[in-house]
Amino acid sequence: MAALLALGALLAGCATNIPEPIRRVPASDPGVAQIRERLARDPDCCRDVTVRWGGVILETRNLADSTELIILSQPLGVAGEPILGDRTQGRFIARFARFVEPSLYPREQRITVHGRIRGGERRKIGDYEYLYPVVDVDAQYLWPRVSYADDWDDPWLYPYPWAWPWYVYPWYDPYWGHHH
Amino acid sequence: MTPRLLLPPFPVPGRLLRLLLAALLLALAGCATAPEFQLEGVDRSLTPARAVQEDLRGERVFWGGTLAAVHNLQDVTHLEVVGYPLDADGWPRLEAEPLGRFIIEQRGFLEPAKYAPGRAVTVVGTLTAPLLGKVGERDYRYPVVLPEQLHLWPLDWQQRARPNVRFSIGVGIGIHR
Repeated sequence: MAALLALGALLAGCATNIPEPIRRVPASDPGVAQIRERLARDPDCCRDVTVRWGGVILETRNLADSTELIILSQPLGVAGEPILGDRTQGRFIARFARFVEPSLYPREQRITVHGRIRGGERRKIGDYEYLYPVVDVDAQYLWPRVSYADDWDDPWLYPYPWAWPWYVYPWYDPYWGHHH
Repeated sequence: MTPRLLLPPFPVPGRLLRLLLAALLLALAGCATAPEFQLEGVDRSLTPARAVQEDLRGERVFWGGTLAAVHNLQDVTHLEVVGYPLDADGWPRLEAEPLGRFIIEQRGFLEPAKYAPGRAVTVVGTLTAPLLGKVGERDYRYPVVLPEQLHLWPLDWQQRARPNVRFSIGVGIGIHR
C-alpha cells in the first residue's frame, strides 16, 4: 500500500513544470464573458483585475514592441488546462510586453495565461464590432498538442495532459476499453 | 494484456459505489442525447431548393446541414448552410444528396471559430424574405431562416456518440488483505 502511494506521488509529480499561477485557481476567478459585459458598461471597470484564462490560439500578432495572442477561451480543467469543446465564453487578447516567437504559438495551440486586465479593445470580426478584454500576461503555459493517433483517440478515456490526477490511482489503466 | 484492476485498493461502501455507478451511467447516457426539436406546424417535405420558388414567408421549417461559411454582420450573423435530409434525431445525413443552400439569420454575434465551416447545424425556425448572393460566380437565391432553435452538433457526434454507443464490461481483480 505504501509503495502504491509512493508511486502515485511520483507520477503526480511528473506534471509540475506548469507554473504555479496556471495550476492554482485564483481567489476571484471572473470569466471572459463576465469581464466583457463589465467592460461594455464601463471601459475602466476592470483595470488590474487578476485573471487566469485559457483557450486556443486564433492568431499571433508581433507588434513593434509587444506581442498579441488572440485566444478563443475554453473552460479550464483541474491543472489549468483548456478543455476543448463548444463551451467558449468568447475571445480575449493576451498581451506580452516582449517578442514572442510566432511559430511556437501557432493557431489552435492550447494556452493558459495569468495576468491583469489592461482594458478592453473594440475590433471588427467581419462587420461586427467585438469587444476584446486585453490581459497583460505575467505567466503562461503552452499545452502539448492533443494527438488523436492510434488507440489513444478517445480524449474522454485518455485525455493526455489533463489526465494527470488519474495517474495517482494505482488501478488506472489507460488501455481500458481499448482492447479489440 | 494487463489485468484490469477496477476495484480501488481500499474499502468503498456499497451504497457509495452504487451511487457512483449510477452517476457514471447517467453521464454516459447523456453523451449520446440529441436535442428535442419543437416541430409543431413544420412541413417536413419543404426543401431549401423548393422554398425559393414561391413566397413562403412565415412558414416553419426544420432544416440542417453543414456550414459553408459564416458572415458576421453588424447586428446579425448569417450562417450559410448546405442543406441535407435529416434523420429521426435531426442529424443531417451527409451521405445523401444536398437539398440546396440556405441562410440562418441569427441576431447578434456567433463566434466564427466555433461555427466553423464544415460543422453540422440543425435549425427550427420561420422563413423570411430570401437573399440574393453568389456561389462562386453563380447567382444564388438563398431562403433565409430566422431560428427559434439552433443546434450546433458536437464535432464527435457522427464518429463517436452516434452509431456505436458501446458499453464495455471489464473484469475486475481486487486484492484484499
